[in-house]
Amino acid sequence: MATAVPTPALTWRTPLLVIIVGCTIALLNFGVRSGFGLFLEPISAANGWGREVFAFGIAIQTVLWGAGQPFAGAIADRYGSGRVLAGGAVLYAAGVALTAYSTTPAMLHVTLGVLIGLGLAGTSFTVALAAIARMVPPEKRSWALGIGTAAGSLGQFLMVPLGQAFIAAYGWAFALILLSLFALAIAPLATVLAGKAPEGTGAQQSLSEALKEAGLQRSYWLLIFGFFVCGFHVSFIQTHLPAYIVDRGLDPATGAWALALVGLANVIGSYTAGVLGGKRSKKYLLSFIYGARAVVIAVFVMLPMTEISVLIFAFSMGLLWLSTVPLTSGLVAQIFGPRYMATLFGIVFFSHQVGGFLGVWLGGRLFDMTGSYDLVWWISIGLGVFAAIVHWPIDERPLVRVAPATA
Amino acid sequence: MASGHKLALGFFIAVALLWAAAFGLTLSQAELPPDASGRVIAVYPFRWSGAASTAAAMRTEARLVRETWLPNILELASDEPGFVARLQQEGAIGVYRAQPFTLFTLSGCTGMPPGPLSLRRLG
Repeated sequence: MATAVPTPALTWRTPLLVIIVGCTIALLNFGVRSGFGLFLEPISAANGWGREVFAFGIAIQTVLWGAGQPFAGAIADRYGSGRVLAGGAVLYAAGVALTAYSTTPAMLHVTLGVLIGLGLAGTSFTVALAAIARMVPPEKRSWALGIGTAAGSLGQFLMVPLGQAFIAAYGWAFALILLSLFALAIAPLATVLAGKAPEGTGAQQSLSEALKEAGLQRSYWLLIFGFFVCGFHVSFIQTHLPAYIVDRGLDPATGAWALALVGLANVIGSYTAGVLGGKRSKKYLLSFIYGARAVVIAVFVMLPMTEISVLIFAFSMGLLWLSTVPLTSGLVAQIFGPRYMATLFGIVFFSHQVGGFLGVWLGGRLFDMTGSYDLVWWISIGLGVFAAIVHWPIDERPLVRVAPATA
Repeated sequence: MASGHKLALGFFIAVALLWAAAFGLTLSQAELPPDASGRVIAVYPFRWSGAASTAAAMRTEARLVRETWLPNILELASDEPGFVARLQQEGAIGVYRAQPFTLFTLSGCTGMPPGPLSLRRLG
């Protein structure tokens, strides 16, 4: 059995600095992206396009962001997080800046879709959180993942009004240039998270061996299935909740407040989950979160809807929103070790994105077919129960690996 | 762990302060000149009620385009020169160029685009 050795000295890259920089990268990565919706109207109007052109660009971006993460993670695990983060930042910044100069749908799909999608993958949670997990002591890992996720959530919450202010002050094109500078700032910060896990920090494994090992673990598949549900829930609710609220006779403003409240509570929930994950069983916390989501959604759809019930629902769901991220990523690190965490969590995150795609698409599709969102809400409840169940049997003990016998 | 909580709090406060400074600076840059007109967003003091804000706006003979999520922020329009100056005289503390904004500008954590159906229904 390979013995885990303590995290090696990081010279000037202290855990404190690593956490602060990792949080800043998560904040910038999530923050800049969360403001893209602001440009839907002005870009479409300036070029005389329907909104579908912009929406398709975002769809490409989302697919590449999700599909690119396992590859970005693999490169980070092999060659170091710093290079991937820096390369991702350059692509991200280029994509955001060049979106301002995209005058044809094809150009927009390359800039807003391909470049930003790949840039997002390179600078994503997966890479940043894996770097944090490798560089902080194991006893602080869950907390560090929690604060990293909370920072990303905070960026999402703060950047929308700032992006709106940029557009008002400088126009949408220059606002994009300013946002691209935020994305570019990730590149110099990446030097702090540079490096990969030394071979001595875990069993001597190649990437393919690590993938094969994970693929044979039932617990890994259960994590993948569970995170799929997370993606389904958050994407469906974020996209379709406003329409659902309007359908039930409430003011659209209530939908906006609900989304804002989700964002705010998300910061609290993510951090709290990280803290609790360091003290309690992560799998049971995940079971609780998904079970609680099912209960909260069931109560919401069964009770009469009022402004108060919407806001209570939004706050409750916000607490349960990305609180799954520090726990799921923490479980990957805990079970498999941090050596190939970026790759393994990247695959899990891809499942989240597939769930997210289905949540949005199925929400609209079933609404078209049935004339209401009721069926999707009940599917969401069922998926919540399913996820609560599948996390329960996860074996969260670190894998014991047998080292080859030496002569 | 107490030091961890302090670090988290310190980080979030620092981010909030930086954000507030950037937001304030940007808003000051975004203010329209007094002689501007057209469709604008007028911000009234936060202690004002919606009725008081609307009444102040109507005294400038503005057209109310729409109310916003906050009662003291209104989208107004007028083609008369000096419209912004009149709004400020009637108590507006900030006047900005109106921008299109829908619920879908708040994209989800996956950045998923809204479907065409949703776009049609919520504009």
